[in-house]
Parts: sequence; structure tokens; C-alpha cells
Amino acid sequence: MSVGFSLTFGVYVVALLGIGIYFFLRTETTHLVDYMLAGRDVGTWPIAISEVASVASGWTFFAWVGVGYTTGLSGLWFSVSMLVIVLFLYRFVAPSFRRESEALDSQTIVDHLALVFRESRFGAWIRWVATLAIVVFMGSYISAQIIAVGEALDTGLGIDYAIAVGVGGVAVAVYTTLGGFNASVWTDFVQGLLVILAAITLPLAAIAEIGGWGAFIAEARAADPTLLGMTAGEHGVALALSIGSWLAFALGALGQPHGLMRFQAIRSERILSKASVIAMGFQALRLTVPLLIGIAGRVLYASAGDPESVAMTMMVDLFPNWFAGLLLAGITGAILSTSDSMMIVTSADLTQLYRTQIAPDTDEDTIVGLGRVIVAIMAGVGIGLAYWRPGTIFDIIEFAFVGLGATLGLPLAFHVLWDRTTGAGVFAAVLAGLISAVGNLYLSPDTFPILVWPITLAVFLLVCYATSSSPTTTGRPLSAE
Amino acid sequence: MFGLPLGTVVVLAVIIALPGLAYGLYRVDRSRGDGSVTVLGYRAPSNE
Repeated sequence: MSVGFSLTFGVYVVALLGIGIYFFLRTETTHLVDYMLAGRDVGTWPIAISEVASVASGWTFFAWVGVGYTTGLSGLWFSVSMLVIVLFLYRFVAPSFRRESEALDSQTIVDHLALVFRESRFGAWIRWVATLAIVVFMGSYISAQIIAVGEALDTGLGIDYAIAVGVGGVAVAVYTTLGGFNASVWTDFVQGLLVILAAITLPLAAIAEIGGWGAFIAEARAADPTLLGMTAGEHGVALALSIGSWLAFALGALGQPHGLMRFQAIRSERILSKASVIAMGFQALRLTVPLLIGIAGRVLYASAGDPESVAMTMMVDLFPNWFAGLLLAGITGAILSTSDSMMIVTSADLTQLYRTQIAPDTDEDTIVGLGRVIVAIMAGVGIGLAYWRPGTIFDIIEFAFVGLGATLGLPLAFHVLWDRTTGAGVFAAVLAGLISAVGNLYLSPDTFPILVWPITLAVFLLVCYATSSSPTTTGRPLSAE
Repeated sequence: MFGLPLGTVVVLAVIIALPGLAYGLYRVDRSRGDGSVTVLGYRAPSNE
């Protein structure tokens, strides 16, 4: 561990904490809508870059590099599917969601669904079950990010994994607790730019190290002839299951609360179209390049013990110390971006549950204080799970990503686009999504996450059709333009 | 092409084209008014 390497990274961490303190000292963070949604006044570039950075997480330079290393470019099935879903979200879901969110004063997707169906007897149930889903999936998701931070600091700075997990978890908890959503958006923005820098320079350096593009292709074929194809060497049913798994995984993009929160915080729905261009470009880059980094890692480090750490090793080996420190900061930053956003959204949902269902008379100062305490608790839970390590980073992210998409994204998309959506249907979908995600993982892991979507969709449609005749169960109707 | 199998090249081409599609749609939106989504999208009617 060199002085220059550590110094660059240290300056970056101090800058993150500075952002948190800056927003803490601003009086606006004493109001809930400012703490949680930055006063709904976030502009185009911060919203687009931070929306991607908040979802990019540990998977971009860890899980996704690991996929590139082990199965190669077949991961592009996921990439192309997710890009289509992101475009769909920006153009079909986000405009109405943003407008409704302001009208209802909703803070999160859970809050939104509960408020839309507040007249239904299922409104309160939606909030309880959806908040439980948030705790289950977000707790898992946060732990995956902290594992990735630990591995980054372990490989990059030579800090022991156990200590690195604690340091990373505490750093993100401190600036998020202090600065709220504003700190989250602006740290996400800075980190997003550093991720773009890393995504451009690291594969170029790796391919140059191998001897250029031609040598890279030849070496990759020699290492594993299936790395560059879309099938990963599979055929028939196995291939169909593999592609189905990628598509089911990508559908999770519909319901990531920390990403959807950006739509609620955006200054106006008028800038969504422009923001979608920036977000799509960033997504295309970050969903493609890590696979190439993983393949290059397979060539350069044929016997890597942990494929998910190959990018970190490559960065340390191929770049000058100061630049490696900067990129490490960017990558660690991307992971922290996801963690802080997840802590914010979990905090928001639990405080809203407390305020609406348990203690309605609680004043705003107490709620904001409670929100900060929950952020700290979620960081503690995430650190604890990171020590336990229930699976690879990819495994944990896949579980959380699909679970959130099915429980929250599916009902939201249908609510916006289908006027027969009912409170009972949304409640059923949230419950079915939660149970089927956990059940599919533990009872039929070979098919995970393929079964989650048809089960959740079938339950949702059945209940909606069975209950849509009652006018009191239907949410605020939205008609096509 | 580029030493990659045809299927991979096609998927990569689609991935590159999708941000371009988003840009094209944005240009249409901007030319039609204030930048709000007006094509290949959905917007609930305003209550204002």
C-alpha cells in the first residue's frame, strides 16, 4: 500500500464526509421532504447520473466483472433487457409517477402505493407488507454493497477485510445520516463521474496489457471458446433457462426504490426525457464494459481465487498509484452510492410506517431524528450481514433486485398504465412478490429468479379482476394521453 | 466482425443504438414543446 495510493483515497473519503456535513448544516434537512427528497428540486444531470450510480452498486465492478470472468458476454442478455426496461421506466412510468408523487406528497414507492390506495381497506396493509419487503431486500442489498466495499479496500489498500467492512459501513452511515437525500444525490453524482472514468480507462489498459484487441480476442478464445458468444456454451433447455434467468433478473429494474426515488425528487417531469438520454448512455457503458474487464481478467489472471475481485487487482497492477487510488475511490464510491440511497429509502419507509400507523401525532423533528437513527441501524445490519457473507455479491444482489422489482415495480407499472389496478391487487402482488422471491430462492434455486414474475403477475391479475368492480378499491384513475 | 460472433455483434449494436433512440425521442419531445414526454411514452393528464 503506497502513500500516494492511500492519500488519494483518503482525500476522497474526507470529501464524502464533507458533503454530508455541508448538507447537515443547512437548515433544510430538518424538514422531512428536504431530508428524503431534497425538496423535489434536483436537476437533469444530477438526477440521471445519480439514478444510475445509485443502482450501479457493487455489481458493476464486482458482480458483473465476475460474470464476465466466468461466463463471458452471455451477460449481455441482461444488459440489453435492462436498457429497454430503463427506457420504458423513464418514458412510461416516471412522468405520471413524478406528478402523482407531488400531488400525494409521497416520499418513496412504498409510501406512494399506500397513499394511492389509502381509501381502500388494503392501504395500510400495503404499507406494512411493502415495508417488510423493503427491510428484507434492502438489508440484503446493503450487505452486498458493504461486502464489495470491504473487498475493494482489502485488495486496493491492503486493509484487512474485517476492518474494511467496518470502515466502509461507518463512512457511508455518517454522511448519509448527516446529509440525507441531498448528500446522497451529490455524492452519487461525483461517484458516477468517477465510475465513467474507470469504465473507460480500465478495459483500455487491460486490453493494451494483453497486446491489443486482436490479441485479446485470441487469448480469450484460447482461455474459453464460449466467452465471446451469447450462449455460454449452453444448448436447449439449459440455454432457455439461462436466458430466462437474465430476463427475469433485468425486470427487477422496474422496482428499485432507491432509483425510483430520483423520479420523485426530480425538479419537473419536463426534464425526464433529457435525463433518459444521459441515463441510457451511462447504463449502456456500465452494463457492457465490466464484462470485457472480466474476460480480460480471465486472460491476465487465469487462476484468480475470487473472480469478483479481478477488477480491483487489475487496477492496482496496471495503473500508477495515484490514479489507481482515484479509480478505487470511484468504484468504492459507486458502491457507497447504492448503500446510502438504500439506507435513505429504508429509513423513509420505516419512519412513514411509524408516523402513519403507529404514532400519527409525532412531530417532524422527531421523525427526521428517527430517520437518522434507522440509517445507522441499517448500516449496522448491513455490516453484520457482510461479516456473515450468505453468498457471492452477485447472488445477494440478484435476490434483492428481483425481489424489489416484483414486489414494488410490478404494482407501480400496472397502477400507472392499467386503470383496473386495485388496492387488493397491489397488496396481493406485494405479498406474492415477497413470498415467491424467498420461496423460489430456497425451494427451487435452480430456477431462481424465473418463477418469481409469473407467480406475482398471476396473483396480481387474478385479484385485480376479482375486485375491480368495487369503485372504492381502485386507485386514482389515470387515462392515456 | 471485430473477432466476435455475429449474435454478440448484433446485441452490442442494439445496446449502442438504444441510447441513440432515447436521444431521438428527446429531440422529438423538445421540438413539440416544453420537453415533456410526447412520443413512445405515457403521461397522465394534468389536473392543473
